[in-house]
Amino acid sequence: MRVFTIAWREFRQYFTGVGGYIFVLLYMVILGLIFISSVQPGQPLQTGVINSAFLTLALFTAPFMTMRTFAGERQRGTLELLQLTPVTHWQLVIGKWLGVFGLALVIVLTALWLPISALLFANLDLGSIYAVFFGALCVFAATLAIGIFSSVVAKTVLASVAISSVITLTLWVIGLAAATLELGLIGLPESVTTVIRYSDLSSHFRDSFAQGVIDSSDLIYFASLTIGFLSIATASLQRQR
Amino acid sequence: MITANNLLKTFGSRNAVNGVSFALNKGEVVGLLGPNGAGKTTIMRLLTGYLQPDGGSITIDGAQIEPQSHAFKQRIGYLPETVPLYEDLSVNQYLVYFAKLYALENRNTKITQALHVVDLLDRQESLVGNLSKGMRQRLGLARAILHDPDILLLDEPTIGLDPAQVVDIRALIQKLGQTKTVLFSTHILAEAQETCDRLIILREGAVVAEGDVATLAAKLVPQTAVDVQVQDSTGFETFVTSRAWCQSVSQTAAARFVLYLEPAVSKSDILAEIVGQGFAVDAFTALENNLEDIYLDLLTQSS
Repeated sequence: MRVFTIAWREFRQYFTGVGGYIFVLLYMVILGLIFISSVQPGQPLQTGVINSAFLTLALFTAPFMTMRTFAGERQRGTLELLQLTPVTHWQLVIGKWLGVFGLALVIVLTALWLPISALLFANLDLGSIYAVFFGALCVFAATLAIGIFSSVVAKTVLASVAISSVITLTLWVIGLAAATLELGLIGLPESVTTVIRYSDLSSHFRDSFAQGVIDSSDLIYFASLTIGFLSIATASLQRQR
Repeated sequence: MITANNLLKTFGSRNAVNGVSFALNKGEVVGLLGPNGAGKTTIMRLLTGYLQPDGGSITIDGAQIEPQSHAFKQRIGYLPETVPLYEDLSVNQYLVYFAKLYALENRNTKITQALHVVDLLDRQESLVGNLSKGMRQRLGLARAILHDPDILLLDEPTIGLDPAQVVDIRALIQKLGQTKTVLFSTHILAEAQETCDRLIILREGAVVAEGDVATLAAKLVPQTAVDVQVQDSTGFETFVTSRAWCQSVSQTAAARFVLYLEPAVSKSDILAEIVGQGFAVDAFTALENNLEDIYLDLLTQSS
């Protein structure tokens, strides 16, 4: 119950100010423009650009969506009060994450009008579309967990954005390293290359969800990132005492 | 009620709290007094469980309770020095949020009771961001007592308030002290003297004295002094300094002097001697040690 109280407060906060509306509008405008430009009459819908846009936007906006969750509360002094209530650190972290994930859900659901409107003049594989949107939620789940962790360890909201951006961009850029390894340009032990390839966040979205496939190994990847970062966020909060 | 046993807290290489022990009894208002950096806020945060002590323990009713436990948190109410608020919420929404986090039953009744105590019932729908400093302090107090804790920890609750608001908050603390154990920190001596049953004086993270004002005064070397106002001060200072009973003299106004006397001299004899010398005396008042003397003396002794 306390988890949902915190989550609801966090979620509502985005829409009592303009923050939540800006995020939703940003997604709608960018995805809308890309979607319109990729629709060619009589041609199959080119979803590749949309998928990339979704992934890129999620990676770049998650640090801003989560920056206030803990760092903002700390700067305002309210984090101390929250920790004096019978709410556990784990409930606090999960509640905050759920609240901000609620915003991500609104963004993704709002973006659904794009393929739905396309149905009026094109035949679409709805299964693939749903896979993309489900994949986007998985990306959000993980990147928001990274953002929550960053907000816990940062003293200010700007530091939170910086830490979160570095981690998410590293997971994104590691894809380039993975591609280099594919070409065999760097001689590394097989175990290391396997770990690097598996760590690449974009490939877990691009090679499965974006292709209309939901693969359990990708689900495990995103679930591990999410649970892992939420766990270390909780541990960090506990250690700050 | 609540006992701190040899509490220790260090930040880096600095000992913020260094072996502090004291007990707060049920239904008393205790002042935590000390200069800035004496460790008042750190002690408060240790007592709330927000900070974990590096040594020592905290017991409530003789039992050591894990500060992160539900039972501990239900018994402690805390008002930080700067009242943290959510400015986007109304007064009522702010309290509802915390009532839910405390999982209070009869939420509305408890919110109404808390607002009644702090006299904010008519501002329930006001946006927190629009409240005055005094009202914010009251709202902070309402939140601190919302779950009906029996121990209230108030960190400099009157800081930054105007004189009328200070009087209101002090009266409120005394009212709360009738039913709860209150520990409040301050560096305003008059406030501590007026509001507290007992004082704990801190210096550099350690307790240097503890007791009521009378007990603390007894620890001082008695100071014998009189405040004398004469009609014509010509020759007065020369006269008193020539007397054996006068240690020193200090002129505080045109015809007003404080005479510091040798111990055990009779003040009535001195008055008779002054009058006998032909000085017309308008006022003659014996001075006692006040809290400021006690405080400064204790800090000086401890250093």
